[in-house]
Amino acid sequence: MRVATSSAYDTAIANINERQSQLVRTQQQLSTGRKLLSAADDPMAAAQAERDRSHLQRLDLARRMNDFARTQLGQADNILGSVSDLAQTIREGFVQAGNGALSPSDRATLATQFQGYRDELARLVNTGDGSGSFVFGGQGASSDPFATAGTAAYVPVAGEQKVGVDFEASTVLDGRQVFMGVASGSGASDIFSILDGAIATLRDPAATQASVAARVQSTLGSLDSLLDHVSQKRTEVGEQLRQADARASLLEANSAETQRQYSELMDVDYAKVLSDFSNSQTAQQAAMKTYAEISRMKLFDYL
Amino acid sequence: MSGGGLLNLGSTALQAAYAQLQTTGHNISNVNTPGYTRQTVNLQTAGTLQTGSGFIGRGVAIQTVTRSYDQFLATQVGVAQAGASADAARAEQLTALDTLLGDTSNGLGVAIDDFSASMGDLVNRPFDSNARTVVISRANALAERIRGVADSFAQASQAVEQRLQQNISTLNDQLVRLAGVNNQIASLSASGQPPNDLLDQRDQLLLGVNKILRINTTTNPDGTVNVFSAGGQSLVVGDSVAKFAAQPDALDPSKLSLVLKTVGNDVPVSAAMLGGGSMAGLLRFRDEDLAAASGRLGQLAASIGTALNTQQALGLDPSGAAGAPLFAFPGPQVSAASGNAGSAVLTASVTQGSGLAPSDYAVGYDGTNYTVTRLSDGQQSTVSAWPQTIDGLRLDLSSGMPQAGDRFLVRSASVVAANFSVAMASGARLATGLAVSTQTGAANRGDPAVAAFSVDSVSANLTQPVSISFDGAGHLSVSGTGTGNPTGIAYTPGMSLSYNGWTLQLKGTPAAGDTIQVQPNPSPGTDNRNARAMLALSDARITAGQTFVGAFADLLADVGSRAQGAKSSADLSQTLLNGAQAASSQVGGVNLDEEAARLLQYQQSYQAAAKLMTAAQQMFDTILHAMG
Repeated sequence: MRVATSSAYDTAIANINERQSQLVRTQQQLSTGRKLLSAADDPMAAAQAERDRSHLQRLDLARRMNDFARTQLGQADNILGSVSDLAQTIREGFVQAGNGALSPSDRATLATQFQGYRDELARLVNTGDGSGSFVFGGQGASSDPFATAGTAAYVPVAGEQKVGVDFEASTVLDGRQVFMGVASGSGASDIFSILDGAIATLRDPAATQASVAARVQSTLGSLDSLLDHVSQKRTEVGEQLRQADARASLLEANSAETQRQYSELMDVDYAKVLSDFSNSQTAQQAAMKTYAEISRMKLFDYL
Repeated sequence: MSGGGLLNLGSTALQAAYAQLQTTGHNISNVNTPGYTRQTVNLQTAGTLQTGSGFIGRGVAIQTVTRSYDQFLATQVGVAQAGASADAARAEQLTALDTLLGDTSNGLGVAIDDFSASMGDLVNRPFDSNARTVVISRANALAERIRGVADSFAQASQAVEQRLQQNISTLNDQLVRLAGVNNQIASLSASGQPPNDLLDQRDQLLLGVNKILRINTTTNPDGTVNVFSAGGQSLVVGDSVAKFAAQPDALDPSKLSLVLKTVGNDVPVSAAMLGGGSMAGLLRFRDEDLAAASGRLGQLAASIGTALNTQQALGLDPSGAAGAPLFAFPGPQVSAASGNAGSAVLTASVTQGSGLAPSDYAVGYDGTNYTVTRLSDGQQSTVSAWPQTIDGLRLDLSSGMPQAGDRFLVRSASVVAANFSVAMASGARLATGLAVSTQTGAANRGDPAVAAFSVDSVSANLTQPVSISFDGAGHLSVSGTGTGNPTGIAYTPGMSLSYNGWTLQLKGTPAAGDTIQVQPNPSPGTDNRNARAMLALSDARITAGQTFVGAFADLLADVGSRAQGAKSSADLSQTLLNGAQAASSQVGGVNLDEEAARLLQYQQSYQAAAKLMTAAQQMFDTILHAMG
């Protein structure tokens, strides 16, 4: 079988070039640290890697929302705690007021004290959440959710604003549920009107001992109702916080697992690629050496 | 007995050996000349002299010099070359495209996710103007990335067309030279001897043409060849040489298509008629691979734009106005082919709620019926009456009448991405809230509640107050304009009610007299429900059954697997070409060692022949001396 001289050289050169490009490719993988240099290397893996990358960003988004919710809920819990403490203090004051006969100056003192508590409560229910919204802003408020002068009114749409992807967590609470609809002697009403009524009775010089005592009793009932609402809300908030904490751990774990899968698809296995590189180098050297040997053998040398 | 006869004998031998030495020298000199076929001197005896005592030979004569050429193998090389050139051209373009899309860390998928992240911050704080500004800025980055990818596709298309022009220019040149060489060969062959080097030259030209398009040849008795394209058109026949040109396609003037310029008219040359060669590979890349990628990009961009714009329209911005479109992109464009004889004007629009197919369309009229062809896969549908909706595109004949043979191009997916932009200058117009709110009754004693609420369409009665009342015994009734005021509806937790364009899902255990109210939203600027719906679009499988990023991943995989396939085809066809070339050069290639051996052989023949002449000379001298 004949072999044309030029085609023998061409084949040898083609082999050397082939090995060379293999070496260059391996070197590129090593220097970029990426197994997949482009989608053509492994289209299915490249598509999966892109999905994994996106999933990581989405988990990050979920984490941010969840953290925001935790902050909001934590803050709400604190405020509810303060409300609870304040309501207890007011309650103790009324218990005191119910003990025995009160002189007009005692009543006046108590009335002033209760007015102070009432004003503090009015401030607490309108606490801002520091990000531009309000802790008890319902489904969204741009200004104080409670109008507390005279008969109180709850301004925003009652309910809770929620955030979440795949989950729901409250970030703004329903103020109406806690502070309005408090039980009172004359049906449901709001805590501010109830306190105003008690303060007015205490300030009224014509009020009898009996009517004061009755008013105190009914106010105590209302305060118990309020404390009940607050406790209920705190339980709900606590439960949501617990879920948010659990969710944070889960998101963390998912992130780590997705990152691992992504690395497996994209990152170079240095041990394998270094060994491939070494093999390619050896093959390249063999190709070049044999080329040199063969090209030395010419009949013309012997003539 | 004649010394002259012997001298003559010697001289023929000398000439023969000399010719062989020359030919061997020619072979050695041209060992690396591309397309050179080794030549051999054909010798035969120079006849005999009939004498009474036998036939005396008269030496050697040179019959001709032939080249070791195998027509069959050479044709095989041509065929293999056409295949290899086509595959290599396509693989080169696809590899470039794949590399371009390959840097996914800055890719379209990241831009989509970054936009979603900014929408997430808006869900957290719908009233925050900074969050709104970031959303607009990320939307702009997304639009820019979409346009960037579209631009890369456009550049790839232009690169293809530049190469096509170069190929055509080279091809036309080679065809003219082929005709020239043909003529030279014809006039030289008249002498009866094969003009070997010209034949080699012509074979090289033919191989060069095969690199550009696949050809078939026939050989004429006068030694010339006729060249035909794979599709049967005459390229070189005698003195008539065809000329190729690229000009704007009649149907789609933004693309070049090939024509063969013959006397009288231009014959369009389709990729199928090329049969192979780099032009076939380039056209396949532009019209199949690039068109598919471009269609997917357009489909994705249209999906993103439509989804966001639709959701915007379902909500209110902080000023209480209905949401304006966030993104702007062109709708389908119809153009008539140049050369249409009729006056028909077709229009196309996208039907509400449907996604775009990743394709453009061609409409043809045959005199009776219209045929709509989906260009991505060739799927055809026949239309006899207008309007028709195909793949979500509503096509209609708006005026005029066509004539048989008229064609129209409907550019649908291909125009979206290049002109995709943000229509909204300020984040203040982002419709984060809904027009209606739900609220449980203040005096409720049970715990009926709203599990989920959505606005599905902007109906006239959307903001009409509606009241849902429970009887506490398992039924509810609804009252409000637009609801029809139904009563006695059985209540099960988890059920949904839909009226006036909204849908409300109920949960909880109601007591008698409990209510849920639906009313106009007094504070849309602090409401995040439509922002949540917009964020949820990123997870919705609305782009050919995939999420936005999923559709982008599919685009990557599609281009990647086309590139991978093209590379292996190119490798395979290169291997076939190498094999064919090896087979051909096995017969016709020069082997230096063989020539060296022959050199020695012919040198000895020459020396022997020279010796013969010396002997003849000496014999003559002897005779002369003998005569005194």
